[in-house]
Amino acid sequence: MPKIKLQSSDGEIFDVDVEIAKCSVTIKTMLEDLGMDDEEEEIVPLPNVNSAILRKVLQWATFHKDDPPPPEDDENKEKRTDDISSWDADFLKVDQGTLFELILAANYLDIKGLLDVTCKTVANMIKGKAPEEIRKTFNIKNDFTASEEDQVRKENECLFDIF
Amino acid sequence: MQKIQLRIQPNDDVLQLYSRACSPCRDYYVLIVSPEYVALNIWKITHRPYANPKLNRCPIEDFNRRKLENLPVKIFMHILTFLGINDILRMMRCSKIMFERCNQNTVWRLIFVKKFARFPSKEENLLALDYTWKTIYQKRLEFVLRALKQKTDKEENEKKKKRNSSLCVQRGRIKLSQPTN
Repeated sequence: MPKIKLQSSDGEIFDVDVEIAKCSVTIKTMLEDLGMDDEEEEIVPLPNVNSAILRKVLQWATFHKDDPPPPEDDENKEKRTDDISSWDADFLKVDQGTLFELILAANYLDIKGLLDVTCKTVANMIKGKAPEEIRKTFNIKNDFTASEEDQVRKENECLFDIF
Repeated sequence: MQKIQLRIQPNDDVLQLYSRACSPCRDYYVLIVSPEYVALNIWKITHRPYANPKLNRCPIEDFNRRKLENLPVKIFMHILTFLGINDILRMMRCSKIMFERCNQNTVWRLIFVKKFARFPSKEENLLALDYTWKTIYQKRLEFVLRALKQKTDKEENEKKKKRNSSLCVQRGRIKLSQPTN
């Protein structure tokens, strides 16, 4: 299988199967636009992804290389978040910083499957939680004064989805 | 803003930008990015009263993109598509930044779409030119609630009528059975 060299922001070079690298739409278009020949030993620089994250991304891409392409987004539908496979759930048992870096990398590399599953993981960390719990989970500082918070709460109360 | 000079200093600061407001204003702006903090200084130049430069300084940590509040808009919106309406409303109460990020027109449109499980109609899209999606969502919600209330009220009334009529019968019986003095 033809290989391609990817270079992370901190200079590490990864030898990757072209087919696996191409699950990133960014890399795929780059290769197509540049008309890179498979035999050529080109190095693709990825200045926004460090080696630790790139290794994780490639691990994910290798496992999911035979997946069918993810379906198009349908805004109109309540999206499920409980359909994360057990492999993905295990894969995403990482600290929050890494999780957000994976999201940023998936966004930059344009890997929809990875972006979806990471965003779902974050959504699951928010779902059904009270504001105080959300603050605690994501280390958010409450900079509302008591009266401001009360005002927002009152304003939102009548907008709640109750039926 | 008139002119921006880019000066990379040899000292610790990563970036220092200076700028002056367009004439006739002479307000002066300084933006400093250092490894520890980001500072924006605004100096309003007026005849009087004399005002000290306003110094806004926040730690570089606040700009860390590896935090929920600081994720790029596109990703933040993508996460919201996986949440329920009540989750988004609760998120607004977390902090000022969260409120700001969730109280956007695009988010309210998303909430509208989520609630009514359809894309906005032509008329609603026209309304959105003049009103925010929050208002449209609110009005639509009120409308649905009112309709629901009318329906339940009607049912309630009918039930009451039935109950009343049966009560009348009962009362009649009670009266009948009451001993007369």
